[in-house]
Amino acid sequence: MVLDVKNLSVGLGTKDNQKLILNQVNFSVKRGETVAIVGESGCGKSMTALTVMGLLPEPVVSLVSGEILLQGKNLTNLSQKEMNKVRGKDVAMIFQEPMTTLNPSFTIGNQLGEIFKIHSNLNSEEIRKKCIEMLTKVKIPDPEAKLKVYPHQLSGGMRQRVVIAMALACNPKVIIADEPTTALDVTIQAQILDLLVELQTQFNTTVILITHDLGVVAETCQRAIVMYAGQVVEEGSVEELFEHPQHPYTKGLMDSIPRLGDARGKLHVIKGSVPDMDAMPQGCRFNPRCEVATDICRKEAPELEITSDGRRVRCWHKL
Amino acid sequence: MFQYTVRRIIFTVPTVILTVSIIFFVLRVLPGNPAVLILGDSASAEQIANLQAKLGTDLPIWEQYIHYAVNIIQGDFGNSLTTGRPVTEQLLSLIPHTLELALAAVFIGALIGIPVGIITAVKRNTFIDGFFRLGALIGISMPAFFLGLLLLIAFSLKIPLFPSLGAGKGIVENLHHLVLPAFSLGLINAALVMRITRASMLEEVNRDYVRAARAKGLPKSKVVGKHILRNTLIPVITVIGLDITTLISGAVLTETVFSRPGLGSLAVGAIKTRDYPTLQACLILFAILIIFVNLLVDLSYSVINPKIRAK
Repeated sequence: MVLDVKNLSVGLGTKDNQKLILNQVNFSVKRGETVAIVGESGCGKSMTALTVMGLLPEPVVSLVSGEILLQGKNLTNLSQKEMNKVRGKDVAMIFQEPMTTLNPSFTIGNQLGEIFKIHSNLNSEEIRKKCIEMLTKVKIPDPEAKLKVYPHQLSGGMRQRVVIAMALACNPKVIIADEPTTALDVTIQAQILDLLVELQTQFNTTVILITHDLGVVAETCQRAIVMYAGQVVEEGSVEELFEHPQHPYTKGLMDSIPRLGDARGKLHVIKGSVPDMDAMPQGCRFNPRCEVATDICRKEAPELEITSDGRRVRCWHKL
Repeated sequence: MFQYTVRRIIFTVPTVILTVSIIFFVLRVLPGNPAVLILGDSASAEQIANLQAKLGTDLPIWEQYIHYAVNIIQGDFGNSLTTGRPVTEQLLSLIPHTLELALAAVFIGALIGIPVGIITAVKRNTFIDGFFRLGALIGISMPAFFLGLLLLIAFSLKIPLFPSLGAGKGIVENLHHLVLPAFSLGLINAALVMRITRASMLEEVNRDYVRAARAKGLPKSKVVGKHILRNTLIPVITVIGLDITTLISGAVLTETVFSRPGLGSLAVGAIKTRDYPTLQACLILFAILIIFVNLLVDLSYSVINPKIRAK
């Protein structure tokens, strides 16, 4: 296991009035694997990513309990200073908005080179060469000239390539890609995903892909973790999840994918919306929206159980 | 960059011409005949006519305007009506004093305002933040001449560290004389700069690029000192630039309070004695100074903000 997240709980607000936005999140990721974290907006996907990166907007949001083991090293015990040596080098992150992720006032070369400056002992000429090499890897044409260019002079797709180059710069063990293609148009999305998959194989990096786009999951990931209201509700291989979802929520998500062919019928929706943190339902958090919910669902919260085929499901009535 | 600079410089030419023309016409439409004002009510019609001929105010206004324009281009602002000396000479001897005061105030403002602004933004909502914000509120609420008076009482009368009037001779004495006036203008300037820096910085800290920079593993000092600072400075520089115009009017009063020689006290004197050529020259100089400062602000933008450079 490269990354092992154990019983991660994250709270919003001060100690005496804290609401858990992540509740006992558990998952682990193998080397070279691409794992998706899927779920609706507000289910805690991005918070999970920020927690792993140690970039929670403290003191508003803070870690309550849990361990994040990166190759056995617990990141939650590290000071900010020690964490600076991990960020960008061992764990890197690709953000959603390429338009605003790059600093408008510095050249691409400067922002890319900065990573080598802090994480390696290379001199400025070697850094320049490394930067050109990275830009070539992410297939940016004329990389040498692009070093002197400012972010606003590049298109969204090109900027996202730069962001990917930055994430890959130090050959990190884990890359967390938080909705890397959401802000891009469809043709560019496909290019960026292809690039990500290609580089992932080339560098043998582990990628955690956070998305709400199940099409992207099907295309790029081997395994998926489904999150709902700050909890993991189901986990399994992408194939199994798509073919036989066991949690009603996962099934709802799968059914919500519009398919060619049955264009005449109405689109499937999961009724209701993600519960408010202040008003978490008793029992299973999904019960008010669940089609198969019974009394036990409304009274007792189910545990995340490992099923016979090695999948994990949090449900009283597995499908 | 070079092209941009040249273009901006060329753009200032019409502004200067327009300003100089407006000053000319405004002074001409002011009620009262300068010759009568100079000679007094008891002057004879002949005396007045003679003086008008000498001043050139008997000519049609367009002819006066051409004379005026030609003279200005040659750097000739006429002779002072009170001292009889060429105005240009007077101006040249006084410019350094005012410039010195204004620049010192800008430096003090930036040197205190920017770091304090950053500290208060980083330590938002702590005691330090509250302390400096209160100070800044007092600073921007207080006119420079009043602070000048307070400083005079404190550091010249009660604790006689600094001289209370004049500009002094020689560099050391000159700087010694500069301290109090420069601080009375500069501290107030610092209050403004601090508030803008703090506000601008707080706006920048929540931007995506800041989190992205943290995700790269940059230490907080580098994220603040490099990434946030550069973007924070864009509005700060505008304010400092715009503030130089306020500083010039502030200098007029400060120079009066500290009895310093300078353009401010020259202009005030010229208004009192109806010395039109001198007043006209002061106004033109102020206007050109402000246009020049705006040019500098624009150019410094393009150094800091690459988006402007590209346009």
